[in-house]
Amino acid sequence: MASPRQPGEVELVKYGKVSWPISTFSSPTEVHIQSYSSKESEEGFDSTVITEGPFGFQRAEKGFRIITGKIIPSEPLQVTLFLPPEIENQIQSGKQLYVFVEFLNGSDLEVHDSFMGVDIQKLTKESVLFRLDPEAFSYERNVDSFYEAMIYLATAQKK
Amino acid sequence: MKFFIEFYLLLISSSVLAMANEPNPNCLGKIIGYPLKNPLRILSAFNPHSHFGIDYESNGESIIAVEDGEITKIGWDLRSLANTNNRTGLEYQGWGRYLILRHHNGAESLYAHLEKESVEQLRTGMKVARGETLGKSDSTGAVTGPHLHFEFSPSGSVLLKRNKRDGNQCIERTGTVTLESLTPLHGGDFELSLDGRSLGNTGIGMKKQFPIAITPGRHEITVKLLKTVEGKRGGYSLELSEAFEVVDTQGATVSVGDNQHDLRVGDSKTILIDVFSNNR
Repeated sequence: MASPRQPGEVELVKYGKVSWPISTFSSPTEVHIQSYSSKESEEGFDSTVITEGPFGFQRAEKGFRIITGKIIPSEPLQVTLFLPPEIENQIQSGKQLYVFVEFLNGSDLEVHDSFMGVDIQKLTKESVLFRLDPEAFSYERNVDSFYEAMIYLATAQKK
Repeated sequence: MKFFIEFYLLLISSSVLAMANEPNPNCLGKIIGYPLKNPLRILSAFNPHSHFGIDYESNGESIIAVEDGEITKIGWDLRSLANTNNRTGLEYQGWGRYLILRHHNGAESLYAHLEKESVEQLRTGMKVARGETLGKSDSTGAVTGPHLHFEFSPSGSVLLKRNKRDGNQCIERTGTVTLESLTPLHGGDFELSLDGRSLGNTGIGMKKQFPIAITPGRHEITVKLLKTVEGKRGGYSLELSEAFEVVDTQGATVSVGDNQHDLRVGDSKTILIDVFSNNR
């Protein structure tokens, strides 16, 4: 259970972990990290990212979902993900790693929920560390109205 | 003969569009053309946290390439949402028919909500030139009405969040500055500069129109009296087209065309102009 009065961390053994500073959540809530993929999330990636051509982005088979219940974080979370074998192989063959996060991108006239590459803070042979901004969380993606962030690791040819 | 040579050179200089030296630093020097054939009117501006592009008013007008480049994506995006979007009341989301271009200068641009069939002649890998028609605007995808959603990255992939910038600030606006030497018999030869760069001079007692293309924001226009017949004072008037708004050094607006001054030889007068970011 995440408490507003202390920092916290949740780990999914062999997959990754997410941590947050004090006051990230306005009230107590449960935070989950899941290795996850669905028809909707795959379609979301494939229809908003360039996947074809010499510089197309190739996503991992499974993504990650971070759920913060009914409370949206007010501060960025720190996320560490262990690289799945297919991504490790791609990196070893000279490709570059990217972290794609789904963001609500819209105005009063439109709604886009598209995947965007975010900055990598630290990359090792086994894992990647990055910052997950509160804007990545949306309650519109699941029927429970839980705030969730959707992440895919992907690789592409170095330019 | 000398007169004719001088006149010829003046004609050449006035036919070339002059550009400002210091564009918006966010554009990283990548100055682009219009994404639409029609005048630009913003319906919803860029927001670095929630709206990573600009919504321009457009309903069926031609979408045009902002720079030379290559088509890297002809996409279709329309998906349902599990919950209704609060801002729009829409139960689905997506760019509809969209295009991504990679430009030769390293920038990328994205155009969304296009008419589905209007891009059927396009293929990925196809080369396009600045100003070339790509398709037509429409209301495909998750929208409440027709418009163009335009995204711009001056530095690489437009799909990377850190690259996305307010492309509207990088679109050059065109207009004219007309400088007239007021007293034909004893008038002066005036030089016009934009942001410190000379655009040319009028010649004694002459009127000249200077076409300019500059990005939105504040710019400096300077008039300098180079010489007069009598070596004393010379009067001039300055007129700007509607794309520009004149402000004085304190930032207050003054009326366009109300800029009659006289100068001593060697003296100069600088005015500030604001280039509208919302229309031509």
